[in-house]
Amino acid sequence: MARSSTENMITLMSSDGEEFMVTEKVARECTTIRNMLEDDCVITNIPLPNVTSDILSMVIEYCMEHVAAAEKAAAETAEKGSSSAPAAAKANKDLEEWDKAFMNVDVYTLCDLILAANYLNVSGLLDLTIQTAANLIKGKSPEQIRKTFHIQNDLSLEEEEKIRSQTPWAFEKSE
Amino acid sequence: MQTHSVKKLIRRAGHQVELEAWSHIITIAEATMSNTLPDLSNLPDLVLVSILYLLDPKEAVQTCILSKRWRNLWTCIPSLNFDIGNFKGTNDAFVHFVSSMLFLRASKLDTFRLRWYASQDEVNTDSEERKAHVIVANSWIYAALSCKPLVISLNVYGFDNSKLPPALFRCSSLKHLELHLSCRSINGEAAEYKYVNLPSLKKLKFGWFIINDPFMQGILSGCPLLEELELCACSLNFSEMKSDHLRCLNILACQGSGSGVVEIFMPSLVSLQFKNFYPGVKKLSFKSTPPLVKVLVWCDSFSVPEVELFNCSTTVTDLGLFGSGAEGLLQKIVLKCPIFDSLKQLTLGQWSINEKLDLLCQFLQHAPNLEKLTIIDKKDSVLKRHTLTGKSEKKGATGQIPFRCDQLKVIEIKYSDLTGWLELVDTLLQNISRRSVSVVYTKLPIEYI
Repeated sequence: MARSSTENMITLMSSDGEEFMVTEKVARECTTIRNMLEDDCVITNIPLPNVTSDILSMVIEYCMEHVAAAEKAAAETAEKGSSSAPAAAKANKDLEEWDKAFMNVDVYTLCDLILAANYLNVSGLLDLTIQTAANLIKGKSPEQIRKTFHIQNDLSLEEEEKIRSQTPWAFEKSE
Repeated sequence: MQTHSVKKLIRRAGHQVELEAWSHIITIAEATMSNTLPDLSNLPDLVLVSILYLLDPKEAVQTCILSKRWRNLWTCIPSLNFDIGNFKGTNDAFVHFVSSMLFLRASKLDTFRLRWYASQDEVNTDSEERKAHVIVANSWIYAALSCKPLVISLNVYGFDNSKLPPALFRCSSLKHLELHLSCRSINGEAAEYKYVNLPSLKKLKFGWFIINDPFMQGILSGCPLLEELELCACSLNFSEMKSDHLRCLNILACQGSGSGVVEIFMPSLVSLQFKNFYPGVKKLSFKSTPPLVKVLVWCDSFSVPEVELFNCSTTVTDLGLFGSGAEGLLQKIVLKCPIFDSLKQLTLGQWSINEKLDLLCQFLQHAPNLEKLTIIDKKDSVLKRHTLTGKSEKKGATGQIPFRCDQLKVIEIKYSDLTGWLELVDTLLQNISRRSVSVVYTKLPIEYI
C-alpha cells in the first residue's frame, strides 16, 4: 500500500513491544484510537497493552483492507458521478469473500480477535467475529460446543442434571 | 481458575487414582495451565450475550449447561425474537418456551418480536382455543411492555384487531411498533383504542387492521414524533389523515369503504409508496402540497390510481412505477402534462419491451433534469417476444418524439432476455444530446423471472 507523505503516521505498540506504523486513516477504524486522537491530536505513539503482535497485525490487516475498499468505492463514485449498482455490488461481494477468508482461523485466534475488536472497538470486525463464533455454535450439542471452543465444564453431572430439570422447556426434544 | 481446573482434573481422575499419583497430575495440570489459551468463556459478558443473541433462542438458552460461566448468560439477552416458523417443536412447547424465557429474564428488554400462528381454526373466531391463545399472547405482550422496550413487532395469525392490550398504545418507551395480524374476521369491527399516547414512537406499521376515523385521528395525534407510517392489507374506513410531521407514508394492498377518497394533510411528507388498491378504494387527495421527494407506485392494470398525487411533481426527485398498470399510470401522467423539473431518477418496473416507446419519450419531454433511467423487464415479456422481433423497424419509427434530457448519465436495463433492448436503447440514445451516457445491462435473477 503506497503511503502518501502528507498523511499522518501513527505507531501502535503491541503488548510484546512490537511497533506497527499505520496511516491515521487506518488507525481511525478503531473507535478507541479515534477517540484518543480526537482528545489529543499530537499523539503519535499508542501502546496497546492488551493486544499481542500477532493479533494486532491481523486487526491492522482487516482495517487496511476495509479502508482500501471504501477509498476505491469513493474514487469510482467521484469519477463516474454516480456509483453504478453492479460494480458496487461486486465490490461488496469481493469484500465479503475477503472477510470470509480472513475468518478462516482457529478458535483461539478467533477469541483473541473478538477481545481485540471489542477493546479497540472496531465495529465491523466485532460483528464479523461474533457472527463467526455464533455460526460455530449453531446446530451443535453442548458437548460439541465445549469441544469446539475448549470450554472446560466445571459443572458436575449432578449440577448439570439439576439445571436441565430446572429448565426443561429449553431441552424438550422436538418430535 | 487454575486451582479450580486442577481440582477438577483430580476429580475426573476419580477415586481409582492412588494418592501418590496426585502430585504427578498436579504437575501436568499446572504445566497446561501456565500455557493458558484464550477460551470463549474469557470474553466479557456483553460480548458473549451478543453471540447468544445471534443464535436461535432455544440454542441460546441451552448454553446454560456449558459451564458455570454460561449458567445465567441467556437471561441477559436484550432482544428476543420468537418465531414459530423456526421453532422445532409443537405449539404447546412453543408456548411453554416463550413464557419461560420471557418471565425468567434478568435484564432489560430492548426488542420483543413474536411471530405466531396461534390457531389453525380460521372459521370459528370465538372458539375456546383461540380465546386461550389471545390470553397467552396478551400476557407476553404485557410482560414485554413492563420492560420498557424500544421495539415491539407482533406478527400473529388469527387475532382480532380490537383485542390487543390497550397498553400497547400507551407505552412511553416504544420507538418502533409493528402489528401484523395476518388474518381478519370478515365481519370484524374496527380497531378501537381510545387513548393513544406513544410519545417516543417514530415508526408504526399496521397489517390487517380495520381502521376508522377516530382511530386514525388518535394515532396521528397521539404519536407526536411519528415519522413513518405503513398500512399493509388494511381496511381504510377513514376519510382523513392529518399530520404535521409524518415524513414517510406507505399504503400497501389496502381496501376501503365509504366515499373512497382519503384526504391527506401532510405538509412534511417526503416519501410515499402505494401498492394495488383493491375495490372500494380509493383516491388519495392531497389537500396541501407535500414536499414529496420519493414516490413509488405499484399497480396492476385494474387498479390504476388517480393521479392527483402528481400535482406535487415539482419536488419529486425519485419516481418509480411498477406492475402491469405502470403503463396506464404513465399514460395518465402524460395526459396531465406536469413538468417534473426536479426528477433525477425514474424507474419503470416490469416494463414490457412491447410498451409504446413514444409514451416514454413523451414523459421524458417533461423530465428535463433526469439523471438516471432504469427499466426492469416485464416477467411475461419473454413469452410475447417472438411477436415483436419482426416489428423493430416500426418501433424505431414511433420513437422519434424529441426530448431533451441533458443531465442523463445512466440508463440501466434489468433484463430477463436481452432481445430488443439494445435497439430500444439505441433509439433512446439518438434523442439524447449528451455523449457520455453510460448504459448498464443487468440480468435479472432467475427467481424474479
